[in-house]
Amino acid sequence: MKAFGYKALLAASLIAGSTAALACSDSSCYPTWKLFGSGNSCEGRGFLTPGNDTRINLAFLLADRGGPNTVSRPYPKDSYDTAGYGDVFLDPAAAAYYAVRTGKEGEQASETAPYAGTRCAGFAAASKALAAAMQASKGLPVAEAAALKAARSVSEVTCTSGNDGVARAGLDAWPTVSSRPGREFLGYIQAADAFYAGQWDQTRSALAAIGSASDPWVRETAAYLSIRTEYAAAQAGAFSEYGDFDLAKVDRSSVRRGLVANAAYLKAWPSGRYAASAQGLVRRGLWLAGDNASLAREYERVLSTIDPFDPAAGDLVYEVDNKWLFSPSASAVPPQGAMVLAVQDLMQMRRAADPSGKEWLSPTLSAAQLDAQKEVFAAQPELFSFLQATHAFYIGGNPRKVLTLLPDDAKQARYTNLAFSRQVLRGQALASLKDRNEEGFWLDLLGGAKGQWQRPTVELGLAMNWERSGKLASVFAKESPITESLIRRQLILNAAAPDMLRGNAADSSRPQYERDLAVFTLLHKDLTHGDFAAFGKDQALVRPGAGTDGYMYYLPDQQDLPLGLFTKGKWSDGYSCQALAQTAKALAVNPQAVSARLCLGDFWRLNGFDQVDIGDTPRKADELGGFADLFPGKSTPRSAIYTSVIANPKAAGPDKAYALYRAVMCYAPGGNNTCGGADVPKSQRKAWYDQLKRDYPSSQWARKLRYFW
Amino acid sequence: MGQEAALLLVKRAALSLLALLTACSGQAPARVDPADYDAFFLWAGVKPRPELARAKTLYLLAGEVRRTSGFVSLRGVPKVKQAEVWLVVRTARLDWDAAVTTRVLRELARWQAAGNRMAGLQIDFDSSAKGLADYAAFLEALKARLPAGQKLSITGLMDWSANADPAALGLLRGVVDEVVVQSYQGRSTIPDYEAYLAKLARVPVPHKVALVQGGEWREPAALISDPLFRGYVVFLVNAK
Repeated sequence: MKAFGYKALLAASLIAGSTAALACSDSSCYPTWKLFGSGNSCEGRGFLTPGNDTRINLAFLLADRGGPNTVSRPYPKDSYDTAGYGDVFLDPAAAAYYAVRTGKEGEQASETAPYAGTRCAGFAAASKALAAAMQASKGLPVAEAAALKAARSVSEVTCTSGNDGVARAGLDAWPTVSSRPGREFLGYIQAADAFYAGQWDQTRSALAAIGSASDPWVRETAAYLSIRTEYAAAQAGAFSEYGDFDLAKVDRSSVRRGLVANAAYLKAWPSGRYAASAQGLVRRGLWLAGDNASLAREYERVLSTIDPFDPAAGDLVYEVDNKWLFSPSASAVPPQGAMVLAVQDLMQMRRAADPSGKEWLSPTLSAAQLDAQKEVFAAQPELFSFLQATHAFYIGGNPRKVLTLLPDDAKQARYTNLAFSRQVLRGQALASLKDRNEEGFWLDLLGGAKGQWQRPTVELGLAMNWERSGKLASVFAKESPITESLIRRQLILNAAAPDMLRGNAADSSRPQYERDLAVFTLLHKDLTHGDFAAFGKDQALVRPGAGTDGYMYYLPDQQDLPLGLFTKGKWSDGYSCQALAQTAKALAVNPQAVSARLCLGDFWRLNGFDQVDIGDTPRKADELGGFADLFPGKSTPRSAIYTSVIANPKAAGPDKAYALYRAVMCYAPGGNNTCGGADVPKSQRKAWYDQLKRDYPSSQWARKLRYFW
Repeated sequence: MGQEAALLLVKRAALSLLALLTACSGQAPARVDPADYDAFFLWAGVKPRPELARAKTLYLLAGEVRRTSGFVSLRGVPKVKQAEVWLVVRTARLDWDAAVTTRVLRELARWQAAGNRMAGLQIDFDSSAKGLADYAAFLEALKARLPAGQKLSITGLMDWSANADPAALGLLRGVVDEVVVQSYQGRSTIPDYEAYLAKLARVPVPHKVALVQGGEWREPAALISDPLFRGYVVFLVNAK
């Protein structure tokens, strides 16, 4: 779980098993393009890092029990809340399952059985097992078996009636049976019926009567049902009228009986037919009992024995997160095992600051406290040195120590999640030391980065190195090892030189969206940066089928890119303008041509470009695309067109009137500047308004303008 | 200065004067107090409050459909006497398979059988303004499966009123019986809520506004005159 969620954070709920709140399902939560994951972002990274959701880190460590990460299944599909993630970043909710599951996304493992989520969930399976047991019973007369089967099926009414406390809703009387097996099976049917009806005392006495039955199935099933009965009885009174669960209202004596029954069952039938379920019920019992120390031990035991690729492992990751790491009472019990302790340590190394630099999330684990954990990690020295290196890097600001703690091991053929994380951290340290071997290191690591999320991670490290060392062209070269399109798209928007954009547009091996984005960015910057002659040539790069639909909300990764606007956009809605090609041509001859400049402003305005930010707000220096924009010149905001026309003594009256009108309208209707550039005070807007009304009272623009904002 | 412009300035001056007066009187900004309302969201893990006893409408989160799994229950079957109950399902996906739909409808039937006065089913999905048409198609299919007498409600984002295609918003009409528009993120009211809600009338189905307990709130004038506005629902939060 992240420290904070978009929706209100949800507390634990027993029946759920988990209620993890998705951190940031908000559309504004786009990933921050860097390897440094310290705890202030929504996205997860493909290696162990403090900023990762705890479920991701735990799933990675758990999956390592199954060997190197060489899983080659498809990546999770991007969805609304993971737009822009590509294969570099992970959605915590999906990734926790992905890291441990062999299944594919889209599995909706919904309990399809009738009565799912109720005590009757197992009704059909139990009926089948009962039938088989009766079949196998030697002393059960055929007639009695038939009567019992009928009784059992009528007993289903107890489930369908949905009314707690009404047992045997469909029966007038139980069948009469006289054989010993017959009486035992009837005893089970009656006990189960009372259980389904939530009549606990009745269930208990019925189960007691068959506790030493001679039929092995009845005896074992009764022992198992005793556990279920006690835990169900314990919880029954803990639900409020609103259906929410209050752990404090659990009936402790039922829990105690349940735990005894649970232990007794597992002792008598360690690999019995209900052993797996009974094993899981131990956690429920300990949780209900509030015995957090034992619960922690049990989690450690299960985490170290469960098959990491069993689908249940994904559920377990959620459960540990919810019932332990984020349970206020349980998390007070220190983890005894390395896996969960490592996850907790990483969480305690999180740090985040608001835009003004004020830290609102501070690390709570000191280097000394970490060192004191050495014994817990005695069997996993590589995990321990990784944690120490992480602390040195993220908290201590000491990349040199990282290099000492984590030797170069970049030439392996494959990596576990931990081994990979160690190398990525080493790469980060090399980068922050500006070590000249950094590039070679990433190139080496590419070879063995075969697991899911591994290669795109290394590509990000490599691309950032190239960007910072004057080799950006390598990212765009034909034989570039950068396969992740989103990495290139960030650089297209924020860093690429015009020739790189042209080259990428022409490279048919690139995805269409990426090529379109290169042309889009090129044309946009040609115009905003004032290279109008280039625009005249580059306009031909717009492919004939390019669409004009879709407004521009997240250019790196949105459904449609309206590239066609540059050739088939709207040119004019009152002030007379020719097509954009003519406007650009006029500006190529005279960049100060007043009418053409106003028309360029209208092009931006009429085609929805006002909110488009291509390189206007530079990326932060430590992010991909944040080093330097190789596109020459500076961007001119729309507002600057108006202020310079207003200030131009040679501008014709009608043009000046229009510039004044537009300058005021930049702040309509709410007083927010939609034209870019620095905001001007309200007094300036009023001055423009007054100037228009005073100097050009009969112009259509003066007549049209009724307010200022 | 034009007459209207002058008028506008006068109005604005009056408003800022009012703001100033409020500020001078030392009043804290108005906060959402559950005691003033009778309809509530109860999310999983949120402790019921005494105000619920006089609630008229309750939206209870029953469970969620995650991207990685089917329906996961987050609440036992309620037994609410005093209020009409909406069963809320939070979903991260729209490609529900038949089992998920069946499971949700069974849950609704269980709540009904337990004696709750069920208003219907509410879906909580953060659809982008752009994705509304897909969402409407999903809802239409779901609506067809609802038992007679059960209504369909959805939560909505304020972004829809500002950025959604009117045609897509129109698709919701006749499919959903109401939209409850969230005015908050986390524990806080979204700062620009007045600007967003000014356009709420664009949502062409009856709508309510969800407020967050303790969040800042002043009722915008536009809401009072909005003919489809149906009141407030307060999202309860646990004390910090």
